[in-house]
Amino acid sequence: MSRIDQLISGFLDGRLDPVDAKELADFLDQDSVLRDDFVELYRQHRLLSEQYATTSKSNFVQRVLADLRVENGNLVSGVISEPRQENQQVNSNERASQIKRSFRDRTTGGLNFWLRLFRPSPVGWLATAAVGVLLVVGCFFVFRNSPLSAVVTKASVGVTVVRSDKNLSCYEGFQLRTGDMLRTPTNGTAVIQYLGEQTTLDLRAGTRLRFQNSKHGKRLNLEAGEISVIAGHQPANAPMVLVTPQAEARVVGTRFLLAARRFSTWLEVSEGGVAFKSNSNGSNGQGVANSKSDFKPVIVKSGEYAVVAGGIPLETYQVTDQLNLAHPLPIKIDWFSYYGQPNWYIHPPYVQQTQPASTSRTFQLPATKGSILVAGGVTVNSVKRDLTLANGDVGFAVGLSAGSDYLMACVQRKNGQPVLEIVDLNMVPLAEIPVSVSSWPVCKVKFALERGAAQEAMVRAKVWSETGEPEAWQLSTTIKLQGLSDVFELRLMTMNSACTFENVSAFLIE
Amino acid sequence: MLQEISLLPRCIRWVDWDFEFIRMNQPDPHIEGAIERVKAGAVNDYRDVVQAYHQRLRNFLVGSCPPGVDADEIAHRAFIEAFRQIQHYRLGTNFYGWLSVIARNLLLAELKRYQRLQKNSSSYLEHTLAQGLAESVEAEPQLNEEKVAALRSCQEQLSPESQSLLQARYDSQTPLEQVALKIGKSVAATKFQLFAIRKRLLKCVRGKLNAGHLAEK
Repeated sequence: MSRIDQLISGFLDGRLDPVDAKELADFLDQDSVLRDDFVELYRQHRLLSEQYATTSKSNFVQRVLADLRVENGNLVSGVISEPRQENQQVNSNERASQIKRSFRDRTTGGLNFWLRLFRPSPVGWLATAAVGVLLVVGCFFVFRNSPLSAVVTKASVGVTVVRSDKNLSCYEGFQLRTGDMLRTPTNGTAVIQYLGEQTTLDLRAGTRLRFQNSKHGKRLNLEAGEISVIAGHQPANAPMVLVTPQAEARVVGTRFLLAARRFSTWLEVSEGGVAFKSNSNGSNGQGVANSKSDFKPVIVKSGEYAVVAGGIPLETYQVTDQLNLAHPLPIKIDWFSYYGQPNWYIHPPYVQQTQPASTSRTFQLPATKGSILVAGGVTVNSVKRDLTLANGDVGFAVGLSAGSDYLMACVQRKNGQPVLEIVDLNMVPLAEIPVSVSSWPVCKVKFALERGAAQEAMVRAKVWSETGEPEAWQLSTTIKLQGLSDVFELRLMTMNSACTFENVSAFLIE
Repeated sequence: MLQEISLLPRCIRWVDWDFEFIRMNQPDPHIEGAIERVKAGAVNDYRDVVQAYHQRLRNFLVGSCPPGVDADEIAHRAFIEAFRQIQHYRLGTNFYGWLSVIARNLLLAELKRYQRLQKNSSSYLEHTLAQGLAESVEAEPQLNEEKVAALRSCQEQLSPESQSLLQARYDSQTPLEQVALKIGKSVAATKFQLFAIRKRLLKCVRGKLNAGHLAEK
């Protein structure tokens, strides 16, 4: 069995680690015939999996029809129901009729009783007053957990609803209540339909959505994950409001995607408009408004997106193929520098060290909590190496600093070949950059610092020249952030070289 | 044999030397009747339409879905979208053809989304795979149906031992260790044998599809 066969076999059987995956990707990149074989073997693998699948697909038809009935408004809205037991199959139409009957019985019975009681007598008035007081007190308890006109129309295995600290399994037709939190697993999704209107919430994998109590309209707390929303027209006095740890989106009638990430909230609107603003107080301490103006909502229209994140002004951006919710967001770099080392010429998009020297220049970034990507082009114009010095390296470095520096350097060691390195952590040799010429060609660099759990972060780097950007990162390593949470400086550095840094940009990627 | 093929009605297409045929898309009067009633507002009659085509649509989609994406998801969305657009369907034409175009577009959109996600997370292998899948979906809109038939035929040509190994592996997606235990071989030997079967099947399917295309010409 050849190495490539081993790798493909490993992929099909789910046993490929990232290093092997990279090796396989490199093989495929070099050989289109091999790539076709790989794709065909994968397709065959899926067909075989399907063929031998033992799980029944019999409920597929029912699921489609359930969705269509909801879409056609065949279900009754605003009614009271209890969650059924797991595995109990109830036809949705029958269920709707039962609910309808129950609602009718309760309302007419209650009305008769009230008409009998309410007569012009002191007893009647006293009873009315007592009932009034009870109603006021009881309302709090009743509405705390009252039924919503929202029904789960699709739920993968593992979707749950947390209700009064109990975990309930979710199923199609599950009626949601105020205070419920719907959770989707990392590999599952759910769809919620509001009855009597064309409003659908599509919860992506790994989402937590809470249905909050609200006097007017719908109020949903997106605690984590992504939801895609198709909103029917909402009355002006009863809007749909979606709240994330950082932001608030107020909906009139539209279609959009809202993503609550750990340090930012992204909104992309494909139809209609959404009023979007930063949380004024940060209900859970994560409010990220940068200035007073960020508390004012911006209207994100069809074809636009906006991001609420620390350090990023709240603005709308056009969704294009190159720039959308999945694309990193440009961060404004303050090109003014307080640190005065000689011979730096700063004239964005160019920043130059005009004389061969080992110096650096640091620039401010907004205090940003999320993950960051830095990209740009660098030319080493000339080199003046003093081999008598202990540090006879030549090259450049681009870095982020948050107390400690995380630098990505391209250097040629005193006695060695050029390397790309994440300083003091990891390095790979570079064949592309000429070893001994005094001037290097333009190098394009990318350097990402992606925050992980706790104080860990993944640092990745790549460098390329005329060959075009490699898809994969060349270096990747995990670092400790040493207790500092905000990356706030961009550092450009030269080593015994004169360099031109061109179009250096920073982006928020999470 | 080729002469015989030319005498076959237009609604069937040659795919196998063992005289297996796949029916082409002819309007089914029963289904067309159901669609007519759905158009008139009888939502429940859409059940017949979904029942008639969902397995076929799944087969069409399943081989081209990227890892982690279920063909059911896309088939489901395709049926819903087709229902929404049902007034645009012209009765007596070809409902399945129309439906599969909707499904194909949804699949391509999903593949594009998946590619973008994988690119952003630097999962180059998955990105390459999704790119390859998208290219093949664009290039061969109907091929999966033939492929399914050809694959079944090729499986039947496998030895009983190979057939049971395939079943052991793919039945409930059994992990290799358990498969090896079941057939009394080492994991490495099982892996080797399984991959050899996969390659043999691929070769056989390609042979049958090529033969089918030659016969068409």
